[in-house]
Amino acid sequence: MFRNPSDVRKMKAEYFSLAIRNLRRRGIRSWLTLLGVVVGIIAVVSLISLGDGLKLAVNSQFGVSSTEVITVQAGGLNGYGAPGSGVVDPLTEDDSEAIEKLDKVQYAIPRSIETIRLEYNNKLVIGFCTDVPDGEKEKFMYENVDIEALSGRLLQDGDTNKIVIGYDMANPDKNGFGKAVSVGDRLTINDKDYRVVGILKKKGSFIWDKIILIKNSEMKNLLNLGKDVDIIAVKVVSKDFVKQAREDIEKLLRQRRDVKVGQEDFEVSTPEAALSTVNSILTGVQIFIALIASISIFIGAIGIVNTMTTSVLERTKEIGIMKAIGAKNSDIFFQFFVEAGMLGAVGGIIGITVGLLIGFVGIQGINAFIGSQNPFNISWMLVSATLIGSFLIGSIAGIAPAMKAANMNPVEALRK
Amino acid sequence: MISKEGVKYSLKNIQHRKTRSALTIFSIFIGITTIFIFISFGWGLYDYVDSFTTGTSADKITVQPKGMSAPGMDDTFSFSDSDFSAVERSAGVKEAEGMYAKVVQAEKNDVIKYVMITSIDPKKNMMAELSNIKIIKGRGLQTGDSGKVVLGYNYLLDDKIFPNKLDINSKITLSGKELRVIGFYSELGNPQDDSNVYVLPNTIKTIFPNISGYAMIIARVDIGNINSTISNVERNLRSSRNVDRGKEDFYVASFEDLIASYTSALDIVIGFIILIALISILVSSINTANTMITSVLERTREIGVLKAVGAKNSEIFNIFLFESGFLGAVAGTIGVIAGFGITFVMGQILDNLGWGFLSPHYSATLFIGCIAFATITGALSGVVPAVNASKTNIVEALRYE
Repeated sequence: MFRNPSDVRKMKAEYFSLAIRNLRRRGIRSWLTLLGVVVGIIAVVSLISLGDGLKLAVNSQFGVSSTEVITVQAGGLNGYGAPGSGVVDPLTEDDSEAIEKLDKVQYAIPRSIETIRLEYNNKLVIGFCTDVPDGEKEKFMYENVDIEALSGRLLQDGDTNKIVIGYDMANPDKNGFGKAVSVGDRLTINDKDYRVVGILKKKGSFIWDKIILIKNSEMKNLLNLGKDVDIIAVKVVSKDFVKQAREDIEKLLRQRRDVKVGQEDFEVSTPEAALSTVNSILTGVQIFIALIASISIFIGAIGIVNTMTTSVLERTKEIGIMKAIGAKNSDIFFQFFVEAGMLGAVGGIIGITVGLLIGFVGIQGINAFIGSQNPFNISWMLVSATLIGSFLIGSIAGIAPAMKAANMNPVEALRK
Repeated sequence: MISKEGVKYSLKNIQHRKTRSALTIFSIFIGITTIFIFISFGWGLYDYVDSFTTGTSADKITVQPKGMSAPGMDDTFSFSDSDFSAVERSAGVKEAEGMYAKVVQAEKNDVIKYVMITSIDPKKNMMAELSNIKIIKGRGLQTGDSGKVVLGYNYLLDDKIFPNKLDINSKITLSGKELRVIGFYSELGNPQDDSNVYVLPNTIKTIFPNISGYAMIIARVDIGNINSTISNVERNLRSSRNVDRGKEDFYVASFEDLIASYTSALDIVIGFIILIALISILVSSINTANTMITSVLERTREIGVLKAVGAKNSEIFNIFLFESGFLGAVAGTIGVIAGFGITFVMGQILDNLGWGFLSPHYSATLFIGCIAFATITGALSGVVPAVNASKTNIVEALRYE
């Protein structure tokens, strides 16, 4: 194999070509080892990218764009239903007015989200509606939740008996009425007739695509709401005062509701805080699933150890010859070490490619399912971490067999 | 079948390749342990769900309003007294209980928590039968027990709901009303329901004077005619609530139906996790196939000799198949033992966290099934190498180096 000792010295540069030659020589067995690593990496990469896509999809459900908004909710079992539904001692419009008088607050908008009976085409659907405030606050709400009319128009001040419906509520396959709803049609809400004046653009959000918008005064008449509100949306004068406004609101509400510090029966939160709670749960799930999938990478690594051990045994004689013509222990070590690392790295490249492909297809699937338009982002963090990780895993798997090869006694090796 | 000598020969070969056999076994056993853990906990979840459908819950139907939230949280469509009597007088209904439910602020020593409060009619007490819970400390509510409260299991623990556990005769303040604790219910096994508090209907009305109606109606029915009873109840409620067929703002379901909807969600989650865990089995069977291929290659000459002295193709095939199956069986046994140890410890930890519904299931089927699965996948990974071995040409094999 080696014509003279100087070839052996050139070996350092030739570790890679040698490794490839040896891998090819073992044909099917190298492929199987590679396949084991590839399957594991595909699983991890595709599941993580799918998880990222799912996170984007969930975040887009919130549909709140502004960072200068604070929400205030009364204390209760929040998070098990629509805002305000698990509340014990609700906030009132008076609270909202008091909040609006604070220095750092531009507007405070009391909001209600109510369950309603919708009738159309002789079918009943249980849906939910939310109110639209008047004047400047109306414009602010439209901008903040980023809604536009696809057909017809949005609600305006003075609209009576008129509603605007979410994108899916117009769709006969999704609205539950079995018939398309268009601008000008009449819907019955809790036994009262309303005319649809607009249909919202698709938001890709479960909530906003199924919402019914109604003017604040109309909603109060319809549902006998009184002064209770579900949630108060607060616009802060500028981004820089969010923290201070938050503290002011907390202080004010402690006073109004007569509670001590640490015993608040209300919550003041920023949209980012709400999102970060959801995201941390999703990340937890993602890590859990990636961990289970990683077990298969670990098993793939055991496969590399196994193949390398066999390979060292098979090449005992070869190692003896190399040592006899002057190969150092470290030369032998690196030859096997690089071979194992290459199995890992090649497995990583193939696995990442296929895994990202699966992730891409999966995200198209999610988009088609919930009607969102989330882009597929290749996470370069994930790609580089997996690539380095797979090379490391391969190399680590190769250490023990490579050391065994390096420490062989040439005399005994040649006798085999 | 494989001969006794064949078995001996196989075992000797496995011993001969110690490191590689051990590594192969190791890779299968990790996969099997993973599968065991998830099946054990998944099965345990089904057991938990099943524990509700048997026994005292089976003859109950529940009537709930449609809506976006859990019962008691959204009172848009609660049930009136006339709705209740419509249910009560439906053919097939033996007795019915209307339950009030709300979220309430619970306070003890200045610590505030939000929990569900539910009313109990002491004469009927169908909620306890429905959820399969019993009083484990103190006593249950009786007529005239106004100002008294029975608490869920979690109030018996320190640092669960309040920093200090409560006891009989402790005081607890529910949305401003101070009540005396008279008893505790047994564990339901999930943090939500074990935090519930239970009072008489009158007590809940003094806490919430404006409470609009029943959040849920439970009825005990003739178990033989559940389906016809459900349609009777639906018909009567439609007329009492004045809604047309197909426009119901409520739904009536047997307890079994309710459970079935949870089970189908469970199927998806558990199925998905086990599917991911199965990937590791796939990788380990690739490893086994690899080991067996190597083993056949190494023994080419030996196979030639065996054939030359009269071994049949089928005997060679059996020897190699036995070898890979045996590796699988050993790995499966170790995997099941490791899985048992891990699930046992995890089960204890989860139980202490108040997640008693996540408890592992152990049964002969699970243990034997996992070992059999490991043996079969081991044997399957060995099929192709074994076929190759059996088809080896004697002359070429003897010449092979």
